[in-house]
Amino acid sequence: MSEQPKHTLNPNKWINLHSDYMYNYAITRVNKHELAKDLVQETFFSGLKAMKNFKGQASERTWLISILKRKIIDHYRKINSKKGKAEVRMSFYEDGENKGKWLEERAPSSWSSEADATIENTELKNAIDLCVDKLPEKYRMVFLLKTVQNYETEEICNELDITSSNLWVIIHRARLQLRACLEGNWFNN
Amino acid sequence: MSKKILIKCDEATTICDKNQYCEASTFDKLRLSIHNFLCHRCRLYSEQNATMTKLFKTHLKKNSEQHLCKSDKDDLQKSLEKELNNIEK
Repeated sequence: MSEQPKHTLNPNKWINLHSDYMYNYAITRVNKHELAKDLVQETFFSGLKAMKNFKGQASERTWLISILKRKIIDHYRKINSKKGKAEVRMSFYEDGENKGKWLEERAPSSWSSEADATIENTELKNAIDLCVDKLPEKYRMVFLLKTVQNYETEEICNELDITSSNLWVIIHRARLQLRACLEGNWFNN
Repeated sequence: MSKKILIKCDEATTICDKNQYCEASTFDKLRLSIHNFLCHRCRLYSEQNATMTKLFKTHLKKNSEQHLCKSDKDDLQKSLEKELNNIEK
């Protein structure tokens, strides 16, 4: 008797109706074409398997996106647990009387050519892209969401299921690494 | 983070990073200013960090809407149909 039309699923039209939207959603968060494509495909597969659980309360797209969100968190968890390999060298003494102070060799030094830093410049842009690319994946993901997509801290924390102190440690390390990389490739050339 | 007014370089740089996104508290900004007044390395770090922020604003831009190309969609369509058949069997 309900007046409200129930939403239905039609997998044959998923690619046409939703794949661009979902790909766009995924690429914004993971920044790699192949990975974003795979996540979209996995979402469709999981969607097919879970069709009987669809209650018709949400639209087809909302339902698919909720699965995709889960996939992105799973992916983030996976890269987050690969410890060691991509860990950034820290810049401060970890203990002893100098705890929390700059390590001598990591302390900031003056940049010789920062005057033109904000001028549109293809070479500089390439240097930055290269440095961002070298970031460990989990750092890159959080750094870009925050810096380029301008997401609220809370939003990123919800999406990746991390705490805000986690997030700031990641941002801090990402920026330290970017700074070291840019120093080597650009500012002190 | 504790409530002490004097902080170490690692804390100062973290506050400075938050400040790049306008998310440092007033108390944190005060602590950072005091620390930077006393520490030339972190002062330099803060200046350079601000330069980096400008740099990222200028050079790292949001990508506009991105789409899957036709062949990607065709691949997806094929694999989806295959999966659908498997399930229906």
